[in-house]
Amino acid sequence: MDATTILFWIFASISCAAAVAVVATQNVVRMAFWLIVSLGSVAGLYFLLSADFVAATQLLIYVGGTLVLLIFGVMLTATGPYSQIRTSPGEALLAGGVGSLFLAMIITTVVSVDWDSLAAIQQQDPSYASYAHEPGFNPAEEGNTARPLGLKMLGISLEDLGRTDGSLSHGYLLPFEIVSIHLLVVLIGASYLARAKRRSRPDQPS
Amino acid sequence: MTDLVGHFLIFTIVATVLLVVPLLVGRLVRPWLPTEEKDSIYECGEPTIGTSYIQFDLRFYVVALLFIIFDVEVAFFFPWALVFGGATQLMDPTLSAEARSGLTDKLLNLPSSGLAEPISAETAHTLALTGLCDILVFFGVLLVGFAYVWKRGDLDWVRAMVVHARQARTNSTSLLIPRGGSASGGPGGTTPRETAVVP
Amino acid sequence: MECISPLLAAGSIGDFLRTQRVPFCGCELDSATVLILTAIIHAAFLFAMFGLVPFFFIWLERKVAGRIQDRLGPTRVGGRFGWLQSLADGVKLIQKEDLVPSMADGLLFRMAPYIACVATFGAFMVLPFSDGWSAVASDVGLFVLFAILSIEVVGIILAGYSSGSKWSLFGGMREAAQMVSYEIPLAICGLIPVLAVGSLNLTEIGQVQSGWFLNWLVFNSPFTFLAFWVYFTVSTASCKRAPFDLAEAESELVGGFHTEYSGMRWSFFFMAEYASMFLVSLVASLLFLGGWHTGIAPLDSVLTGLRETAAASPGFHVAGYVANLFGMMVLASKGAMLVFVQIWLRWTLPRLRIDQVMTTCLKYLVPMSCGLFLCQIIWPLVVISAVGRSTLVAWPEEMGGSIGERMGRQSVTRPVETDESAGQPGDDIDESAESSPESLPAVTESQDKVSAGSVRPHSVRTAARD
Repeated sequence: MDATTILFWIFASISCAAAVAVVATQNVVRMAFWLIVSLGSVAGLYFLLSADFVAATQLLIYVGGTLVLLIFGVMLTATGPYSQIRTSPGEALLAGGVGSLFLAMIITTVVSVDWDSLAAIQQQDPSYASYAHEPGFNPAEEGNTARPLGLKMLGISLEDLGRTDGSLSHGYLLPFEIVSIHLLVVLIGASYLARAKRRSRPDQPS
Repeated sequence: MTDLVGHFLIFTIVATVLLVVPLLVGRLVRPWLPTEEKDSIYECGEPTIGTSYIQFDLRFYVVALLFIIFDVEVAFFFPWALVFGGATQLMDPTLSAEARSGLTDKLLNLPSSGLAEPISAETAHTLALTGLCDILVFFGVLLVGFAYVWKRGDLDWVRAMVVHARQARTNSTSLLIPRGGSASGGPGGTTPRETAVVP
Repeated sequence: MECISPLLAAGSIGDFLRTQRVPFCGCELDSATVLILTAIIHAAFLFAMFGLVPFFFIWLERKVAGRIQDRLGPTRVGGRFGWLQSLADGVKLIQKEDLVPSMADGLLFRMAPYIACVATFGAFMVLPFSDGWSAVASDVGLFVLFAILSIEVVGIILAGYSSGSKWSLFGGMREAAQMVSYEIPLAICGLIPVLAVGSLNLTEIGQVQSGWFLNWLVFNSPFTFLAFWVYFTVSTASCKRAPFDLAEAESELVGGFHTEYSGMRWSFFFMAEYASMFLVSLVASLLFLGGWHTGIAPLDSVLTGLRETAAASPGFHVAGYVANLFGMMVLASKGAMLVFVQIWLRWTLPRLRIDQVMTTCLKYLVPMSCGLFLCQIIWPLVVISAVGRSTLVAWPEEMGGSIGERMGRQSVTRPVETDESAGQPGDDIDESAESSPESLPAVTESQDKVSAGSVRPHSVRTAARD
């Protein structure tokens, strides 16, 4: 086994174990902590897939930001000590059933794909092959994805370079702008909700 | 990237081990005499009143939410800044051919020098202008949101004070706020009594 | 001793280990073992630094505080200046009882200091201490650094929340609000030099600032100059240093988030704090203040020459090694200077109130950094259309030309990947390249020329030689 495989197994098992711990824990803040561990290991998996930018974003936003939000959320709702969440056996059974159905679906999907022939098809496809083996300016070990991603945000796809049949892809120019609208909606929604809460208790300002 | 992940894992392990060592060494020499008083929560020597897991102020949540949105936005800036920086450098018409080809390879993520036609200053100019429009729209939309939140007073940490100040202004009694212009929640506009609501 | 010379001869610890054989079975090390061993060595050396830096800065803090307050500060332990005061503190702390309040959430309470330390320590991983001397080379180094550093807040919040004390809770919540909001101007100010350089790779950002100190990015444009001050303010706040140290405001919150901590566990937070002060100062030096360059062009060109010869020569190159070590010293002294200013600020300025801290960030620093960011975007476009080149004054040739020029030349001199996949140019890169095989010899020739001149080792010759 090479280092990548070993690291994959380590991080995959950490993220699965932490995910199970999220469900099994009853204390909300511990749940948030295990969630962070799980999300952090997913960032490790992204790094292993050479998606350095996405992985760092995952760390910055989920691990650094979401926990803060979660804890504040807990603080807003918490009334009893440690705000325990107890599940009744019926709920546990239902959740277990839905969870195992979903797991079964994923497993069937993974098993039903013939990975060897897929790899062969990908090797035959010239555009995929050149893309996959494109070493890029930096060695892949140092990360290669940030600049192609940035160019895509300007509507330029590096896969199109030298392509003459006019079948250009559009990059992510439109999604990029839509993201900003989306964030605006979230921003205004958040401040609206905060105000709605405040209005309901006019006798207690702030 | 295997390198990075491996390093991070090992760094975590090494740091944890090396931090545990002094604790373990300390176990040999340090006392362990727990008493009820010692194990209780410190509240300035008084017996603890109530639990500390209380409902907290909403504005912390709003600020965190606002800033996670900005976090997401800033994360998008990083790859964009790489491309825009490269494009503005290539815009310089006085650039030497060698540097131009180097910058092109870097920007287009090409493996070795000399494979691609260097990007000309004009092309780079178009690219930079596209980038500029791109970010102005992206950033502009977000700044509209920021301005909205600011205007509606969600950025005011001590809201009571701001409301107070507004009332004072509308009553045009300048007695309460000596510096009438700075009533927007800035450091100048606070009076000691009102800051009592600060957690 | 004979094992030292091949170690020094190899480009990095990883390269060295790859050539070694296991003592008893004689087989070669596989890549996984090499990775693990390299990482352990890097981690051990960096941890030595991570541990020593707080030692030095805590002593400095006490000494500076003493002098500013017209006292002497520590004088007894370790001779005249009390050099070993931190060691004495450490010995004392080890003997202290390790208390966990009965109300606390034991697991999270014990875990929190480790998270704070690991996050700060992990961020050192991508930091280059001299040309190529970083534990991990990363193309998005700055972004990864900010991302790993942002995990530190998790440790602080968990410490505050799990203690079960009201003081800790207030401290933790303040800290969380402060860290999350100050992260935004920090990242935006970090992006301003990135806009000028067009790279997130910290090694490249350092390299581009060689030559006279006017080549430092802080003097690149009026906006980078202003951004440096904003960055410094924000980085002070993001290490929760005075005047922004609301999380541990002694006068109102007893000890803030670490009220309930005692002994070694308490000191871990301080290790993390002082190390992250040094870290953000090193990042400021790399981004704005020329990194490992002295700012004196003749000296720097000699040093850079030595480093490049060393990198190109097969054996161990003493002069190149010394040049790199000197670069590390230069970077560390720049960082230490900034830390000194942070300490100086702490003992000069009164602490802000929490509403003032938040207002400073929300209403001043965020708009300021956004404005500087937009100005830095528009600046090159305006300058180029106004004067026809990317600098306002014609940059003399001996200074290495404009920043694009320096950057471009550096890029040309990057070594070409040599593994099998890199050998064949992709089919869809460019028609001209594809259709002209006769141009390939020329390319290889130029590559040879280039690689003879200045191939840099990728992975680190290590931080390992701290």
